[in-house]
Amino acid sequence: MKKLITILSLIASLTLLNAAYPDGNELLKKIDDNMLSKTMKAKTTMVVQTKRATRTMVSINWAQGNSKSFSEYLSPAREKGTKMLKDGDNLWIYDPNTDRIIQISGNMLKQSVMGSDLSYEDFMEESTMQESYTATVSGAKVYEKRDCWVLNLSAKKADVAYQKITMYVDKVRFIPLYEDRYAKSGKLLKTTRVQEVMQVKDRWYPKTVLYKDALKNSKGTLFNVESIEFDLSIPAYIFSKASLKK
Amino acid sequence: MILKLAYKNILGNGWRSLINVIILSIVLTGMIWMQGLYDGWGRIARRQMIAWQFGSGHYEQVNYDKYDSFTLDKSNAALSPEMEKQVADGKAVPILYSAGVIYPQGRMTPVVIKGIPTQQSILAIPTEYLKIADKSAPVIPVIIGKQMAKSTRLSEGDQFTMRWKDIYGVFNAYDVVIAKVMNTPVPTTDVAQVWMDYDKLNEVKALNNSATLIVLKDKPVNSDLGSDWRYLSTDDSMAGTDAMISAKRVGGYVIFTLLLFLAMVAIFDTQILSIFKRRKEIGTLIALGLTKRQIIRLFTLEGTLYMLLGTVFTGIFGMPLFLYFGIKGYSMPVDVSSYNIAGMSDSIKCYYSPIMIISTFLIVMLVTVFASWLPTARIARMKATDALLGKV
Amino acid sequence: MSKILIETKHMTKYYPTGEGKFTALQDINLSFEKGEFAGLVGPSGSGKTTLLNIIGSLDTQSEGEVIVLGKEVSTLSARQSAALRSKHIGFIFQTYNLLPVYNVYENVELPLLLLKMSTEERKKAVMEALEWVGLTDKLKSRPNQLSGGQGQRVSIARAMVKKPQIVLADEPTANLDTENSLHILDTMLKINRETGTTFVFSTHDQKVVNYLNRVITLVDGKKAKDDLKVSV
Repeated sequence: MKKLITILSLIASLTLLNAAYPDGNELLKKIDDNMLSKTMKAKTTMVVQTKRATRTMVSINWAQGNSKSFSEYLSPAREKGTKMLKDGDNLWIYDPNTDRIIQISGNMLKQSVMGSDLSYEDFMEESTMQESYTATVSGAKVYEKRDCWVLNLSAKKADVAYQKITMYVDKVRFIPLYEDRYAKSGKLLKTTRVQEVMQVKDRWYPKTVLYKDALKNSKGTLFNVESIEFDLSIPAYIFSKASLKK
Repeated sequence: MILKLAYKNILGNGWRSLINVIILSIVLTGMIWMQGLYDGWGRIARRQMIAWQFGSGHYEQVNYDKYDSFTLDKSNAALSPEMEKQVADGKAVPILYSAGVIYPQGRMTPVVIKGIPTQQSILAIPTEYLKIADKSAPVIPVIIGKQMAKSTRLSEGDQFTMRWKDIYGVFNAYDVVIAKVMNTPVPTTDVAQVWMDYDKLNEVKALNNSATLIVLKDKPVNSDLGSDWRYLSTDDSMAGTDAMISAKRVGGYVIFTLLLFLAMVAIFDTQILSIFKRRKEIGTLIALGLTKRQIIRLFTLEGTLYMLLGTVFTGIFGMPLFLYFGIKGYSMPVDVSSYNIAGMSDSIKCYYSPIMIISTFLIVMLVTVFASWLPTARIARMKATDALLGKV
Repeated sequence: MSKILIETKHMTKYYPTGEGKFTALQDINLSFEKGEFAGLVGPSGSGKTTLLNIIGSLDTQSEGEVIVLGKEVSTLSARQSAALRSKHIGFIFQTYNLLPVYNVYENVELPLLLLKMSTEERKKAVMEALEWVGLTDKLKSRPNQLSGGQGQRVSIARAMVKKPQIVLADEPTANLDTENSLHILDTMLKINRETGTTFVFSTHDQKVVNYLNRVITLVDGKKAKDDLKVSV
């Protein structure tokens, strides 16, 4: 009898807890709504920290949904004029030094982008969070002085690259401030930490993000959004191969 | 009679003849040695690739393209029941390929992960080290080659994380431990390769008894294995290596073509000088009743005799060299062995085939005869009366 | 009348020069019989050597006829004229022209090799020829180990070894001192008498002239005199 009471009270308390937590999938939708836009233009800096040096790369990026993007590097001098075009499954890079366009495929996709902790294939992800994952809220936590929900994501389908993700989502701004991505075996592969956020019109957006390949021995790569515009009109030619050589 | 006269004449030429003979024997020795080296290399590369990589023939999954690593994760097919039986009988060994990344000391290195059954005896890879004793153990034993160990600065017992994607594109990662650093002479089983258990790789790739390659112990009677598989004979597998060796051989030919040219110039020069110096003798021979054609033959023969003497020299002085490199072998210099061609790591025993020796001999002979004959055009133009007076 | 071995009829030889031609021999009519010991005399440039070369089929006339042993030499093929020389004509040169790489024996043997004689026959003939010139003790010597006189004697042996019908000797004594000159002239005369071989010299050496039984004088390519002498 005592046992039954204990179990019942446990169930009750769980239900109570659940009631206090928002629905994970609702939260995912809110995140997608916040992070995604029809089109976007941003000026970003990418700081790659290696043992010996710190390299800062400035680029201007255009994006249309999740499938098309175009970047042009402005500095440093060595990378100036390098352009990168993603269109669906294809990725091309233009190197001004050799005046050549190369398509990145196969094992090259696994290489890091300009020495950063991001590989080219990280850029190739197209599905939204909602499409790929089901989420449950497992708790609340204060992270970087913000109240967050702890969200556990598990893949809906067998072909989602990261089968498990843990994230802390800002309760108010719906930005994942903290993200850990895991291998199928449970090994931690990638971490994302938002260090600073900014408000653009009516939405909140991460301004400074530190990406890290957890298996790699590095300090990570710092992304900083200098300026960003959402839902502007971008001419179609920007996302064509012809614009690479311009 | 002409032969005797020719022989006496070239003896009479003294050091000049000796230099010609020495140059010719260097060319001959060098050409035979070099070709013996490349032939020997081809043979050892073939032996090693049979032993370490391709057996007596192999099947490749049709999607596999060794020049496009993008195909790695798409090229696998399940073994047929008959093939499973052959594998069980020790007549075939399946190998599964996967693209992967390793992180030794946190450094990211793309690799090809190869899964091979632990109890195989067809290939020389020491697969017994890949046996997983405890199925639940979190660390997978792997084998890498010596060159790989050197370039990644890994040694036996080292642990690191290995990451790959399964066939659905899902990231997976495990810690692996180097159970053995093997001394494979075949770079394509070494450089950027990590070997692990076949069943385990199938499991972590979300596959079941699927392979990219099936290596055979014996040549198959019927090489058709259905539309999933493409058969490659030992010759097919060697084509790339043979081509690389041929390319190196061409490099060697350039050197010896130059040397041969040098020899030709030396003989040509000797002949010109000889004809000039002996124009009075040519006149005398005409007066004695030789035709110009006979005299041309005499001079051409003299040049050709250099070749015959060169051959004798080659026989005497080259033989110990040939035997040494044929029996002891030749170790490629270090900078050369960084080329990714099988056969380089061992000392290469030169192989001299009779056809190679005879064809080399004939080529040099032909060139020598030509170089000896060419200057004799002067004799044909000579007037007997002028020659007797020492005029040309 | 003895057999005529060599005959020239209206024979002329000229060489083309820059403009026109240089006439070396003009309208030469000559005949030599078997056993003659004759000489062409005259200053240098008079055409002696040219005439000797044409008779020896080393050169051909420009006009007229030259008949040697019944054959018109200008019509012979290279092979035929080589055969004529190797069988029937011996040459003796001012500078001996021995092959430096051969020893005395081999130099003398050389003409016989062209006639494809057996080793035995060759040996016999060579020794006989060397006996005539008195050099059987120098068989193994090289030409550069011989004195001038010895050298010329070897060359006489070489000319004689095949027992030719005609010997053509171009200034044979020009490089020799008096003693050696007389010695080889004696030798040649002896051979001439014993074998009946016809000798034709070209010379401007009085010692030679003294030995000749016929002296043909050439001046500027023309026959000036043709004197028969009583032999010495």
